[in-house]
Amino acid sequence: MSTHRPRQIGRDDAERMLRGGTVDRQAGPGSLADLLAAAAGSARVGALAGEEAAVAAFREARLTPAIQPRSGSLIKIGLAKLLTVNAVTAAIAATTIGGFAVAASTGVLPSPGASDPHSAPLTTSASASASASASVHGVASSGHVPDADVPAALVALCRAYTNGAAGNPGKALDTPAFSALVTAAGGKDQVPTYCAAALTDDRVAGASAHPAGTVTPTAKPTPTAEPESQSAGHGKGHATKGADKKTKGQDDDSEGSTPASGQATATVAPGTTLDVSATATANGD
Amino acid sequence: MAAEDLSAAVGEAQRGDEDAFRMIYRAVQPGLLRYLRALVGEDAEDVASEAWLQIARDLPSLQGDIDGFRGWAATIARHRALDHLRRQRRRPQLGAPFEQMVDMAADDDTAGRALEAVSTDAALKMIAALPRDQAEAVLLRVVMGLDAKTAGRVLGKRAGAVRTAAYRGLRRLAEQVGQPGDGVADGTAQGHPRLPSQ
Repeated sequence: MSTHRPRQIGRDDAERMLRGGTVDRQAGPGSLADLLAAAAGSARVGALAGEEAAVAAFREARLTPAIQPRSGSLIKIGLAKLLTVNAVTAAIAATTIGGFAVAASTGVLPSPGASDPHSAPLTTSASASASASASVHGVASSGHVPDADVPAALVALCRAYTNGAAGNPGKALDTPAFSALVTAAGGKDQVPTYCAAALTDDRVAGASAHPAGTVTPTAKPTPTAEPESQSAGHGKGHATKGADKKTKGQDDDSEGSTPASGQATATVAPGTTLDVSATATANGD
Repeated sequence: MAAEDLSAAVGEAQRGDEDAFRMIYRAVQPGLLRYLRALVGEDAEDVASEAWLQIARDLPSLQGDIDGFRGWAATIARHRALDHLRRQRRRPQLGAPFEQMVDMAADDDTAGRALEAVSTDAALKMIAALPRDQAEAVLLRVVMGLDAKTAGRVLGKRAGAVRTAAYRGLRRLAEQVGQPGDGVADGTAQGHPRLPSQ
């Protein structure tokens, strides 16, 4: 009766269509192929709205590994650490900050190109990329970016969380917007602590923009591979952000507007501790 | 964008190349977004953002080419979507999520573009209206461009099960588009110049 009843498609036809192959109109209903083509069709404007955010996350992930320490080989981390120390050393030497003669003692001075993210080591160890950018820190001694290990996005989330948390602290973290924060903090119950640290950091930094503060942590990495070098690890992380800013020229207000005391960061940022412990372990070997 | 180029881009992105990452994003995001739209409706953009955050972070640990990347990205996105639904205590929204897509359609000048956009929405809507396993199988294969095996991995099923689900979905769709007066079939037949072939 109905002339519109389509011929039953076979599995082969279906498979072909699912693969996006052309379909013989005799073999299957053309309108179905068209429908699938439409479904798979070109992207509309606006579909890529999140591109910059994704790229920012990509950049962030390479530069601030401490957020999600990957289980990398300790050897790699150790190597990265050594690189870091060299890079930082070079930075200090090159920029004459503090005039630490020690700086030269490690010998290997990376080229200025080391600050180029593209030259970052290819290993999965993100500490390595931190090392590459560390060299810029000395230059960026005006001292922005306290939260080396707390990306701007997370600081912003913290701020949002803290501001809104008064109402219903538990619930807020259930929303997807905060999932990145929860992940970074290592769990919902960790978020308050994490944010307290991140924001304190932020505030302290904003309040006391004394340049000396930036010199100290930077210089500390110089002693090579001391297991106890908490501040060294921190200095590295700290440097990362400065490097990011320098090389990318990106101007993130939550960071750029808050000149930092490195020391404040060293004491509070929880991400830092994570990073440092990993690094220190590696060096212990 | 050829698959080889994109596969090369995966490697470059893993080594930190931002442009390569961008290239991959542009190639993968549209399909990912459509797939997510079927799962979480209007929250697809948010969930996609979360997924990309994780993708960006974990990229170095990925082993594989662009096909592997697509499957991996789909898996991450799907997990995020299901988490999202769990948080909201909702069931997947298959069947009803596409109204927003029309609003979001490009406010492009040409009527052809608009028609195309609507047709795509309508097509996705029809697919999303299938039973969930069928809808996901069809979307992963057609929209994300995964093969049956990879789609199976995303869904935690065997390749055969995915093939069957997709096949059933297509048959159901074929019945629907075969019905007279169906705007979707008309619109797409005339309005969409692109076949996903080649």
